[in-house]
Amino acid sequence: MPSPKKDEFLQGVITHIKFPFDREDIRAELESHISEKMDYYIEQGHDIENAEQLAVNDMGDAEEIGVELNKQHNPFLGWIWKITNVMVVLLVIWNVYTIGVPLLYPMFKGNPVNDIPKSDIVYRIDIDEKVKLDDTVIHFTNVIYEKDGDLNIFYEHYDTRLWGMGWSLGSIGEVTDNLGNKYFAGSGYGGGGIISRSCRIIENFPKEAEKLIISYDSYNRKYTVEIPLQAGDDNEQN
Amino acid sequence: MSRTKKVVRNIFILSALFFLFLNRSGLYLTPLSAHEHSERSIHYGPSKVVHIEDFDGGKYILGKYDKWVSCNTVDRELFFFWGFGNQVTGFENDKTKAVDYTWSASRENYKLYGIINDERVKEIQITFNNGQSLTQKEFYEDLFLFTWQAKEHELLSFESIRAYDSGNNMIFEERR
Repeated sequence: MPSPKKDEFLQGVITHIKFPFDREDIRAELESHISEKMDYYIEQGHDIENAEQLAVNDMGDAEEIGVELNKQHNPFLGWIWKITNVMVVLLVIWNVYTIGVPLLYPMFKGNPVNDIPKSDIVYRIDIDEKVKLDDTVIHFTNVIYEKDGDLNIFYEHYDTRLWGMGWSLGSIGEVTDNLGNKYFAGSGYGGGGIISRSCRIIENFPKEAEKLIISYDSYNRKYTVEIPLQAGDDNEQN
Repeated sequence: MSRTKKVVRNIFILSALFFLFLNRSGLYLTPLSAHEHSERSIHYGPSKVVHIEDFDGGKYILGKYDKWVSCNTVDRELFFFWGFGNQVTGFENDKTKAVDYTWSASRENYKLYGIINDERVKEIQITFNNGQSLTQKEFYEDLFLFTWQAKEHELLSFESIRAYDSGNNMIFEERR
């Protein structure tokens, strides 16, 4: 049932509230107060119209209340609160996307070591060699020699600064073997994610080589990793 | 919780989220911070910054690291921030040459930079394919930097570099 006196009072208060997102809450609270007072006057024997008038009268001057409530519901603070709420949500979404996705990516990507069919493998060596270039850790994990002469060097790399960003890792260094061969050509691939799994493939690698040497020497950064190659019948996989 | 407390809480949360955002976005608050992170992540430097020069959209950062000379770029991003540019690493100085240098271009922005190995060098001049030239007499320690812009259709590239002593005698010349 329309209550013109109550609506007029509420409208008179609300027009002074500058922060729009608080208007509905203030309206609801005032309505509740008026209803309580109306209930009281109705219990005292007044009819509804009279009870409403008395309740509204008890509330006081709408303009005075509106100005006072506007001070309490400071619009400047209100907007800061509202804007920071939106910024929190947007930054949470951004961070979930930029941190969560790279974190989860390697889990779903799987290990590329397992992509090579067992029937193609002549020998596989599991290694655990870690080297560090500035903030980047390169972890050599496996070497797999295939029947077609491809030698696959598997490694993963990550940044020790937990959330660091930067250029992607370029070369792992010069690859040689104990026979004196140097391998400049070849192919490779890298995965994304916070821990990136990558592979360097050297074609036509000699089966008889007994040692693989990876040497990095660039801009005063150096490392050498020597990996014994367990070639021979004992290590054949099939 | 009062609204003031909510705002304070939001500011704390935003600070933490903003820190993560900056770290994962590749954005930096200062050009030097972007430059230092760029060098470190490409496994070069840290170089000693000798000169910084503006270009449209970023800055050239001329520096030395051991036997290398570099002119990294950093780009302005999102109004307030700085990000990685290109050509981070330097060239190795050949001290047998009176002047050693390199040049490169990124879009319409060209740069030629180098190092003076012969103390007699007091002036360096580069000449373009259209006959125009640029001269530099004041160096940044022993480094120099020429920058210019060329629109796509101009194909303005340098033809030669010359170095002169105080008597205007040419003591170094190299043509492309």
